[in-house]
Amino acid sequence: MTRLMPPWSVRDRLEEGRNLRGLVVEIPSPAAVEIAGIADCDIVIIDPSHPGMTRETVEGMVRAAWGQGLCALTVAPSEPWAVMTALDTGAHGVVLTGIRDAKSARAAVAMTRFPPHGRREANKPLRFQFMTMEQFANWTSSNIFVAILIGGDMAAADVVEIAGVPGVDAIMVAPGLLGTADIDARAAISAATGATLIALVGDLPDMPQPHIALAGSDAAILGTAYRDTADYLRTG
Amino acid sequence: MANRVRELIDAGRPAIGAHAKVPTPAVVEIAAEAGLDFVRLDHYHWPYDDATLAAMTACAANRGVTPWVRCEGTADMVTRMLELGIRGFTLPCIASVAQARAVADAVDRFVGSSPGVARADILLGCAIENRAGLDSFEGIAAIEGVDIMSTGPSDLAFALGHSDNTHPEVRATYDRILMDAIARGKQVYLSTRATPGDWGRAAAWIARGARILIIEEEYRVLMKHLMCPDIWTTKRRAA
Repeated sequence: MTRLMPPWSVRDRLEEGRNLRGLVVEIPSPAAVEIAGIADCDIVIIDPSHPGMTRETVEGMVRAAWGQGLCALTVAPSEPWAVMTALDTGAHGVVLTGIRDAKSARAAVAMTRFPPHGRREANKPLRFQFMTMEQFANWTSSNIFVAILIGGDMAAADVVEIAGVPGVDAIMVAPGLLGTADIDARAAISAATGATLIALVGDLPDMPQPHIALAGSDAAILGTAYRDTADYLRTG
Repeated sequence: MANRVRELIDAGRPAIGAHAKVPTPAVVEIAAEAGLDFVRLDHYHWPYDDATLAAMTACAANRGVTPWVRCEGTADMVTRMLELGIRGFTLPCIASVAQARAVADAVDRFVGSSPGVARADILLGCAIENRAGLDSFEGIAAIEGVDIMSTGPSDLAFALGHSDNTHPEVRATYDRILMDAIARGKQVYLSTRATPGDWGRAAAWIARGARILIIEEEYRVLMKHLMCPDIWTTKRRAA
């Protein structure tokens, strides 16, 4: 009996030819990921910058994503240890912050790949223990998903170059999420034309629908619902 | 510690709370940031570690939000929760006058042995949800230390022999319990959905005298939002 499903990747999901649904998860609990899975999302983007998001909690959240048939991306600054530990959770990929240009994007991609393709240090997450290290390294090269978060200080020309860096799988444009309130989303999306795009759904109705549409963050959705309900009930 | 819900209902104003299931202080923070008045932690059905429960309770208290719990209706459990800092209770499936009196007495004992804590700082609610509770309603409602009465449609339906919690008999009994409690001068407590279509029902209960309203579980709020096709297609930002 095969007890373990073969691992799936974001690329597998995108190759199904439909736009994917995603949620930024800020509530530090595997239950928050399970909620996204039950609600038919395809991807969760786990933002570990929030209080309570310990490495142990994030690992449990990634495990919940695998259990729900979801893909999990973890947000990480483009520093070797941070990227390595983000992927050591067993996540399907990373959303990298702090990238400024193509050079830093190339360096960050190298952190996600094992030698000879990159500089990631050897380790297999628990999920992949049924593979040899060589098998896992090969799987990683073709399947770990690398998204670059567009920041407010990035020029359009830089976005174009970053999107073209080998190993960069997607550009993420999400003003108001992950500390990027100040970006010009229209300019960033235009600059990323041709790249796989992760963006807030309906944010710019006249722009192309993103390949991975984000509903927002769980914390923001919940807070808005609480506020709207309370406002109505208090004022009649 | 003042009880924000007590202050509101004494002033005749509604207190609005969150129903937290996911065991993390983050949900308490979100509710506090949204301006809610209390957060009810579901110790009865969800496996909170003591450390998590303490952290969520402290988080609520620090944010000026009344820490509330649904827990087992025993004197020991109520005392344990009071010691943690919980100041509001919904005790499910209270089945007898003796059970209600025992928990009310536990609250009085805690107040008597806790300098700085007044009885008014604590709100004790009994939920009438099973057959024994229905039969004991009048006696439970007559206990002075029971501040709040409530009921729950799902257990109530089972008690009445129905699996559908929207059955007319369930709805009628639900309404009768709350109206009887209001008529007896008790506060009542009920749940509302976070969807605008249900707000009118909740507002109607406020007009009838209900003052403590809890918004449905956070997981339901999130799932309903994410499963609404409009949020993936409409030309507006979701959140």
